[in-house]
Amino acid sequence: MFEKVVKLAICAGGLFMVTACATGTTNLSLGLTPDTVRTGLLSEVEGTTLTIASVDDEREAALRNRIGDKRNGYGMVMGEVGTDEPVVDIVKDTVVQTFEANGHDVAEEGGLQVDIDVNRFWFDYKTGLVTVEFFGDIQIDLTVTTAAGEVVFEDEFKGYYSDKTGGGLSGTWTRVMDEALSDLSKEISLSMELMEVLQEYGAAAPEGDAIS
Amino acid sequence: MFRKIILATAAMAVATVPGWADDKERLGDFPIDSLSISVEDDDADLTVIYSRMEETATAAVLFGIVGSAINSGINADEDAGRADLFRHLEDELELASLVETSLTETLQNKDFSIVAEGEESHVLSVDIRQWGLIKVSFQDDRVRAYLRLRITMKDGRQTVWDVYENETGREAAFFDEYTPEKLKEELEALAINSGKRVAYEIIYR
Repeated sequence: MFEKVVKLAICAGGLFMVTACATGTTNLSLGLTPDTVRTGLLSEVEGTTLTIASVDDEREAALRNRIGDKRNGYGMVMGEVGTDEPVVDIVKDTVVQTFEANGHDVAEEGGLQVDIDVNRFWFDYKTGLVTVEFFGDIQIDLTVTTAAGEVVFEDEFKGYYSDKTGGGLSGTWTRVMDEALSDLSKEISLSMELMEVLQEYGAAAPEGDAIS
Repeated sequence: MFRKIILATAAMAVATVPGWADDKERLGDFPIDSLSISVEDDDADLTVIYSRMEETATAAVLFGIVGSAINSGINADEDAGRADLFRHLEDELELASLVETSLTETLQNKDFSIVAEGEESHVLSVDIRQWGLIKVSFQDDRVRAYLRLRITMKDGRQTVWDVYENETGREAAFFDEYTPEKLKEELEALAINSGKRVAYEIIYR
């Protein structure tokens, strides 16, 4: 009897081990690197001053504590993918770097007010027969308000990246999410409507008050 | 089904090669005197990725590689069945034309010299590889439109840019809510946006 129980336990353990179970939380260090920030349409207007007034986490409540799930071979959630820095800080840094790379100053106060809602920030993957495709998916709402309180710009921006490989761990996950951030930055940089708003409502940027 | 299993297994050797960042993925800041542009969608596949987004290794664990291959085949068949609902769009959509028009107009607005084939310093090719619907994520049952492009630029015989771009729609909805008209409208918007994106990548390289 005891022998049977041991054999059963060994079989169960073996099955568990081949399901690629990864428990616990893996935190990723995410962010744009200077070489991935490109100038775009926003660089075609005179530099102006902006203030990031708010960055709100508007993701689905059940998803705010992580950016992805680690699933086992049966699709069951075994662990979480998180971030070293809060998601709102990562997004804020991305937007700030994007404006600055395009010649605008992001100050502590003054100028045009920028409000950001983070609606989605999710890492996911799908397993094929022999490959894994990783996805990075970011969506934000960006609102620009003048000093007089007039909302002059509202739009949604997304950052998306997918990569199909034979597999990958945290290094690959980080690269996929960084590429999605880079795509988000690119989409903001290339917004014709945002460029026109900066041109029409922006004021020349004073020197010395930029934050990094 | 058997053919799919054989093909999928045969693809294993290629597919398991790890991906790496190719230095041609980013367009360098070199002079481009003139461009000839070619946009093709002849080989574009209508693809729905729904069941395949939910695929797990359960079949592989329980039934080995053959079980996994059968499972992948079943999921691919289910997705092909979903795609059939939109099959008639293959004749209606003019994605290549939309991408080419927006790409060319955006470049010309920035005084780029667009010339006929054979007169260019660089050849830009945009190949629309896939279009359709993709499930938002493993646990999110909604889908959204997507477009997958391969973009290459050649300077003579040398390839200087070679990248895949995925454009996804902003709106997500449940599969049953997607009518052919809704998908067509979203894909046409994505195609126009993709053309602009490619042009801006070149302008701000």
